Amino acid sequence: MNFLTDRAWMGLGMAWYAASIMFSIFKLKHPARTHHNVLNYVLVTLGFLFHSMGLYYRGKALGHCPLSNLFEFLMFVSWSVVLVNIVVDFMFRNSFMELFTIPVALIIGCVSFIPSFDTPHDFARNYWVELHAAISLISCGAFGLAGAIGAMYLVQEKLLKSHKANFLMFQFPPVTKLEKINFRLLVLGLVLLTIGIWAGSQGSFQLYGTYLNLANPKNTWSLLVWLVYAFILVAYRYRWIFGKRVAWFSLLSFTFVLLTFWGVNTMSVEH
Amino acid sequence: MEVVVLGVSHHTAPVEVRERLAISERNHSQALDELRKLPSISEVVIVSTCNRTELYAATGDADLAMQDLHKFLSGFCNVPQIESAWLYKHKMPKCVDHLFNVVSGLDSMIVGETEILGQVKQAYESAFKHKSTGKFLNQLFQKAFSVAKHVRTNTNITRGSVSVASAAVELAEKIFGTLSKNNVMILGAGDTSEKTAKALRTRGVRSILVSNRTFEHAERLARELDGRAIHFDWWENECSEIDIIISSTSAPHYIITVERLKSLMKLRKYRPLFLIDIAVPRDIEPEVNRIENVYLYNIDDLQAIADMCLHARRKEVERCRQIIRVEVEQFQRRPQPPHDRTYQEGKDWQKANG
Repeated sequence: MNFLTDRAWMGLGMAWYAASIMFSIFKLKHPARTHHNVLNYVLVTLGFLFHSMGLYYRGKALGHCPLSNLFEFLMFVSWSVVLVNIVVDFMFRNSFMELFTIPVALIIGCVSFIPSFDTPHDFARNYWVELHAAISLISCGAFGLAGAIGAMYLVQEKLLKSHKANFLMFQFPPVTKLEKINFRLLVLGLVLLTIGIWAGSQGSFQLYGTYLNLANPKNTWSLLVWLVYAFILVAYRYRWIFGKRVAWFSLLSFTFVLLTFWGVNTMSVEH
Repeated sequence: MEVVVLGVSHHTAPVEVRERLAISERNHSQALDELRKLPSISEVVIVSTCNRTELYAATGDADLAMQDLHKFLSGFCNVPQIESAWLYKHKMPKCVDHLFNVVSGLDSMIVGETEILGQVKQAYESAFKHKSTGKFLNQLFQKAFSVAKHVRTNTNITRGSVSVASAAVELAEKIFGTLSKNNVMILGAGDTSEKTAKALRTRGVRSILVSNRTFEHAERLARELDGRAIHFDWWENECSEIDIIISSTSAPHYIITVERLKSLMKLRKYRPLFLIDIAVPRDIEPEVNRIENVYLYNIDDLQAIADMCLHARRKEVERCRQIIRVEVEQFQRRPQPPHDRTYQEGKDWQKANG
């Protein structure tokens, strides 16, 4: 089965994601002819399988979890977005969620193909460090999905407020449902991030003797991200913020994480 | 042998004429009996709704059958002179085309409505039970029902809400999802607001509160809607648990203003609120739409949505007619059943031969 490179497998995964997006757009225009969303699930799952194969082969070649350079990190985040999407799918039949979430996975995946990102990179690792990296990035996937749902919320809210009759509006899910799913994804992301940071502290202790080195910019950055998301959830719980603001927080926080992630990573020696 | 149809519909006759020519359920059996006695008619189905009365008959002599059907309708409904402008008469293949269009909702007042299919099915079952149908009408009607299903699933003809009330309900579902946990309040009264409330009730809202300056009117409407009436002075106090407000009072000023609503939203912890302003002059200050989680629609907005959906359906009509034309041609070319069969045999034969 090794007739393709790992990058090629991941590239094919991206191709299936692109097909899924095109199908979603076609479905928007022709709702009558596309009753069943099965085809979309098939396309996304196919893409996910190819994508997983690519990560598997990269991992096999490296001898450990494929999370050692920016290319692998971004591919893993992209993979996590699709993973969480597939898990959440059963809540969301026939509702065009994929139209918002798969592009996130596709864009992150395609950006990762920039050649300079895929240079070998090594750092101290043990079991805890691998677990920390994987879980933290899956939490990123959950935050990414939340960001996409937040964007969908903003679009639907705008359509509903505009009073204009609009077929799009009737295809997308209800705003209350979008708000609820956004919240649940943020909770999922925060729980995973908590576990990821805890695993990281265990790994850090084993390798360097300290649980938490605050002088390390990546560590402080992670805690900052954790605090921001925790704050959003508390504020939402007590209705200090709701509706549009939560959606914007979701969207902007994830964008911030995505943009600053690698910068912070390179500043940090242990990472 | 061929099939013919004679009828009146909202296209050809006004309601005063249609109601005189309607054949009620009670008289159905008697009508079928009398029609079967006519020598020119071997099979017959009567379709009678508020918008049409149609007699479908299998006959060996189409022209004679038309005359007999005309005479029958005149006599049975006690309308000595039925103007030819009110009636339409179709022989094959136009008769087949007509039936396929009717069951698909293309001939209805509201294009794409789905009630007519159920009504025609009922008419056919009634005639079948009465043994007024045979191989020709069995084949025709069973094919018609499958054509209707085909048209409905493959086009957008039934999509969208084409009335103000159903548009309001669809919007409510786009805001809240399922409505089973939502409470509705009606302020004032009026045909449209009642229809909207009824539509919401059918969709399963948890409760309906009715408030009116005249308490007796509120009570009457509350009874009809299985809800609760409250005095008009108290409506604001009850608002904190309300998610949908339908307002249609005759007040000359705004009864829901931005200030009032801001404090109400605080009380409601900013849960989404759907306001439907049916009144003219408007009851609700338009600027409330700017408040977060408040969705305000007035009668013009809802009418625009209904019009847009109706327009979209009308665009689909040509596509549907094309599908039906093909089906009619196929039906004309079908192999004839060799001998009389039972209902189930007829259905099986139909299935096997497409």
